Amino acid sequence: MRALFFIAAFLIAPQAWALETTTSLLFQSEGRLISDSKANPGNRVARLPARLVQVEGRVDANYSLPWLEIVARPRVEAGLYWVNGVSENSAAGFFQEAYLRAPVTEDFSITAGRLQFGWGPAESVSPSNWMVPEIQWQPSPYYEQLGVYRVQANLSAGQDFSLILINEFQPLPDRLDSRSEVVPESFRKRALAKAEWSWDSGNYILGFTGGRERLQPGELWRGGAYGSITISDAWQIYGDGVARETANTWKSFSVLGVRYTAEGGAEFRLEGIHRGEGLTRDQRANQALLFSRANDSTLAALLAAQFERLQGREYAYAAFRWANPPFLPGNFQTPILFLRALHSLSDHSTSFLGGVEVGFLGYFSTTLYGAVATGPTGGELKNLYDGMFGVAGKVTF
Amino acid sequence: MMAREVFLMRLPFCLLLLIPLAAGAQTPASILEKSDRSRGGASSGISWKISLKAGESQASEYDVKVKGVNVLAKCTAPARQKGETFLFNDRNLWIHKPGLKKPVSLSPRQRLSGQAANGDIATTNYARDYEAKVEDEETVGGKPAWKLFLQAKEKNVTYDKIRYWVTKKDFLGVKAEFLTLEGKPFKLANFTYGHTLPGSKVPFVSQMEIRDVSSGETTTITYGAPRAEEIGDSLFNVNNLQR
Repeated sequence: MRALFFIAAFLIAPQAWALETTTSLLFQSEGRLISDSKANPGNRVARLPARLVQVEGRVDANYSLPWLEIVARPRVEAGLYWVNGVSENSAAGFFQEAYLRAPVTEDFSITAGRLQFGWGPAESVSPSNWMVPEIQWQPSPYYEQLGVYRVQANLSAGQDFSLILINEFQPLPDRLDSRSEVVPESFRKRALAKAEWSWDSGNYILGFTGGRERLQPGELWRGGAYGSITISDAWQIYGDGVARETANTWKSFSVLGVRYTAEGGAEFRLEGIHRGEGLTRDQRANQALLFSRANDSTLAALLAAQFERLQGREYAYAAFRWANPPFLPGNFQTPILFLRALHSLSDHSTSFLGGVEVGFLGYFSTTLYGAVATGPTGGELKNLYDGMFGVAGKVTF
Repeated sequence: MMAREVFLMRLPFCLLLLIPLAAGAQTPASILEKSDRSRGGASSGISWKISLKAGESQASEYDVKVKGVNVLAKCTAPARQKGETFLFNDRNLWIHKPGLKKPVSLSPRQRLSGQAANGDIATTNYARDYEAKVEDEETVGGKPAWKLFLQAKEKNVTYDKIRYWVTKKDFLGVKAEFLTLEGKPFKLANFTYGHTLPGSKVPFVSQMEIRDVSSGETTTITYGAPRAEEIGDSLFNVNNLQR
């Protein structure tokens, strides 16, 4: 207690400091058409809500001193869900990020706590960063990924080189949650080093990652690389991949992509994903049968976690994004139009996401979004939903 | 055709060729270089605040740090965009929003997005980015000025062609027309110089007013007083946008 008092006294002692806070209130309403698949017959396994209404409070606080920065992003949310015709409610509190950063020198800093740190030129997946979910297949632009508990050291040499060392540590409970669609992943200790070079002011970028993760029963090594080449003001090509040791064999996970930007700023991406450890079509069919025979909450959670983890081997991804399209009325601020499609080449299921986000008056933004899944019954990307539609609003103070 | 008529037809072109000589020791490149100083170009470490107001909407405000060809601009208002950070590594642009998993790379073509292009938030380095030639001499706001035509040296700059008026007395870019590939003006800009560079008497830009030719909408960028600052190169490393 005395120690806390001294820390608090030190933090508020007269010295150059700054406190920045932003508070947001979100409202979201979503309707979902749930697939009647072998993996989730009658929605009895995954028990996904067909309708939901959620409100969420978000605070982003940043307190900085010359020698320390404290960042906290607490979230509280409450929701009403309708599962198989029965209403349920929930409330949760968690930190999306909460960390301390000590800028030891201009070129070296140490960060500890729960934080996100991402890289990689592809939009769909970032294989060389295995500390984040494989994919974030969420239609709402307000969706936030939770940070990872880690200690991280950043060393830079000018603007063209950086070396980052990351070690994950035992997490605290993810959420104080009365209901969750996804069971937190069991803890795996992971460490990673990343070196990145860029040339010609970022027209050429090359990065390497290496590290290991401790799983039962042994430790697994991983090595990855990523890079991009900006060919012209319109074209960029890129790739990102990792090789992972698993049961004394090496499996690869990679993405290759191309980005084209039109004169008006509309952006198109096409990416091909290969996941060496993914299931073949036959293996997936067997898995679906296993799911259908189980009625276990863990299996249901794994099924629902499909939005964060791929299961098949090959995918094609296409995306279109247009910020400030000229055909929207002038009183819409920073509008963004987006469309994304993920197609499984293994079972020919496809999921489309799309939406539009617009801002008003400097503090309010709203988004309409939707998703449609097509393909054979039981296809990976059609296992859970045939479609969904949502509206969300965000007020920021 | 009579020899006299031929001479008269060619006379204007001959006079245009003489304009660079009339500029005294100034070459178009040196005129641009000097005018860049007053708009933040080629600085060795300065920072300032800018406010960007389009039409009736609420102003966006940024804290800007500049060193050479690199710019870091952090949005401080409005609330909806607070914390968004733009990083310009020369012509390449990154944006990072608080809570997002990684910075997003934007194509040089997306520097043109918005009423005021993202590129307008950044500093000006016309001397490096454009080939200039003196087209004419005119008076702007009662001040004699060179009328320059700028052609981008490479494709990935904010604007491909610019017509730019620089005052003869103090090398200030006071007016600009940003041209389409076909050479038609699509944005018009006027500049005001109400500040001075730290430690010198060189005027520094205080306002830029941009008018979109097709919509008629006006965007005003107001620049705070510049401050000299020691800025390390690591600040402009994209890996340091998020920690």
